[in-house]
Amino acid sequence: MYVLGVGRTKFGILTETMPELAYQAMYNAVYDSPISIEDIDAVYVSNFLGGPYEKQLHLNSVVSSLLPELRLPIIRVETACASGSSALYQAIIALSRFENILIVGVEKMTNATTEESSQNLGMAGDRLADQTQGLIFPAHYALVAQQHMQKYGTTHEDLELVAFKNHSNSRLNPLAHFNHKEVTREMIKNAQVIASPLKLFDCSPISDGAAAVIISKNKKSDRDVHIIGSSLFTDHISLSHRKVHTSLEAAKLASKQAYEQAEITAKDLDIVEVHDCFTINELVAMEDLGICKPGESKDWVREERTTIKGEVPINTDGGLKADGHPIGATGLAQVFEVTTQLRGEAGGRQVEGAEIGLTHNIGGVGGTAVIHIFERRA
Amino acid sequence: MVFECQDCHKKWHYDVKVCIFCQGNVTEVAVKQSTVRGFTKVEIPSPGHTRVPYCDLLLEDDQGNFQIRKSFTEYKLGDLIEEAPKELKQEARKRTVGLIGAGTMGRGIAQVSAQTGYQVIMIDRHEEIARKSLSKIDTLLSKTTKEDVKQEILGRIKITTNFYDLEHADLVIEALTEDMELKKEVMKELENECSQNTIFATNTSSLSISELSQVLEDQSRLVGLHFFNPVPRMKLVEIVKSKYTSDRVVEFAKEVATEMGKTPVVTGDAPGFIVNRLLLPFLNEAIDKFSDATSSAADIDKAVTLGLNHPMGPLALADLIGLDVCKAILDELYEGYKDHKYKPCKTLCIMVEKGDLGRKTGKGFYKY
Repeated sequence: MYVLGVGRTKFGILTETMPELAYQAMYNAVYDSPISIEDIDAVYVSNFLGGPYEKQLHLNSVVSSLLPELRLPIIRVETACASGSSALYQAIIALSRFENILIVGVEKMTNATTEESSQNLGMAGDRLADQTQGLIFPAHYALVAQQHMQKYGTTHEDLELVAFKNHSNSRLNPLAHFNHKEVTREMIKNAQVIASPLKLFDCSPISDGAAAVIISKNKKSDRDVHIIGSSLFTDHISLSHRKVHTSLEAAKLASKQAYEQAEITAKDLDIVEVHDCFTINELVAMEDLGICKPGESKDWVREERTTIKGEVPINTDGGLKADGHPIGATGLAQVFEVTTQLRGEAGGRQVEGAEIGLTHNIGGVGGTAVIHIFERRA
Repeated sequence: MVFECQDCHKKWHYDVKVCIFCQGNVTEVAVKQSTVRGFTKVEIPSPGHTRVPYCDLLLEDDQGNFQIRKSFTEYKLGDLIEEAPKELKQEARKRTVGLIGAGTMGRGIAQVSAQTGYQVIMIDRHEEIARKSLSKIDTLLSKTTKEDVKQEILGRIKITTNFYDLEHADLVIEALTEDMELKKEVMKELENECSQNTIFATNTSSLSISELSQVLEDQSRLVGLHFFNPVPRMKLVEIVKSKYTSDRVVEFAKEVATEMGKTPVVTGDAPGFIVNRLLLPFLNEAIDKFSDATSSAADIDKAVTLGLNHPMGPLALADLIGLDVCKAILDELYEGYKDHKYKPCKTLCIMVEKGDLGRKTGKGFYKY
């Protein structure tokens, strides 16, 4: 299984409509690949909140309108913030039937107030256990952060290091939401508290954007990247339905399975894209993926081992934190970054000699976890 | 709207710009007229479509493309509908709006006008006040708008101190303090400087539009456009017809308000229009209730917010508006209708006399 092409839009507050964004990403992916749109046999669409935000559902048919007269089998996939990777996971399974599949993820989030966004994003939590208690998403991860700090001695300064690294990386990614923005340690440290201990710069932004990936059963060109692991696990939706609150069990299980499929270990990873919807989740992800031991992620960021020049570069595109988090597009933007890195086409943020990369995409507060592993082979 | 690839002639109903099949340019198809091929009359309301009945037409244009269109006019099958040329549709976006006065209201209207796509000319006798207003708009937009879009919006606002810059304005809105003589001066000057097609509007909340229009030669061109504070957030615009305002001018005012994303309501030129005529007796009554000393200010406000579902209690609102302003409007209403129910209550008069005017003096029904 191969990635033939990747494409995306800029992330941020954009003027384009949701269909226009999806189209741009598909267009870019098609012309990044060696095949044409007529070679595509099926499409998977990833989107989380088209209903609440844009009053637009039935997105598979909207995409059909964007591809006039092709009348392809198209299906929308929704697993909250993991929708992008889940669509890819489904598409990979569907390669048993189709030769070439296009996966497109899109989200339009900026036509709403912050309060509406808090409510919409809250839909990734349990209606009864979480939403009725006002547990907005920053609060979900604030609880994880508080637990992590209590158990391992992680500090807010460690979270600030994650935010600073990802904002710095986004300065090298022209398509990132915050590419234009100089963010200093002081700004991060002095920002408003959102849900203690998390402050504004611990949270990913509300972004518009789209990303697309084309995969195939067969190799078509030397730029193709191998897909060597694809795994999806789920867990109880609410933190309150679980016993452990400092790691995400689904992510641990999914990475274990994906490593087995790929016949590698965490030590083999050259570049990793993790789901840093909140800075604490980058630390949790490092531990869940086995990049470091539980409780040691703080030491890794203090020693700058995850910067672009570090041992295991994480979120070279700026991550959800600074590249942006247009939910439906996020998982596919991670694939865009890993593919671009493995092809050696990442420009100023290129990780030298990257051969194996992983994407870690989480729905809600770990209710869904999807891991993919990619490899460049000569 | 239909968009077509110049090379392979595939068609979209979205502005996709470039063809995913052949990389050709995709441009909008020009349409001159459409034929009604089908229709349905909708009898039940839904959010955004509360006025019923209305028709949804299935139109086929002269290029063979279909479109759904809502209409309050009924058509028969086969009826022809002339389509406005594209340039005319964009005409709305090319309007120039002048604003006299760069205070809170003038600034808010200027911001919304520029966001609508209008060219805005903001006039204040003191250039510095206008500059400050512009930088305030900059700050407000920064919170919600992407940098390049913000620059585009700000680029549509020009600042001047000269009335002759308004010569080609389509609409000039006066947003000065409530001073009839001052407003009359301005109207005279506007009629001197502007083209005869320019429509004049006043944002007054209490003065008589008919009286103001006495100074104009063409009295049909003046209309009341009463915006609410804060302008970017408040959805309502009261359109006030004087005795002389022409229907064309009222229609134009409705169109502009709608383009700005506001909901217009039309009312006659009587003191308080709709909102203030209803609001001030209510505030007055709340103040009178407060003075019988059986309920605290906080309890009266709580009763109204929770019992009537108002976003803010009347006493907090009176403090926000300013008690002197409340009293002045009540005086106007009393003067106009000669009805005892509009007479400012004793407590209000005493507080105004003492100089406890609400937020702006730090003390009203609450301390600030």
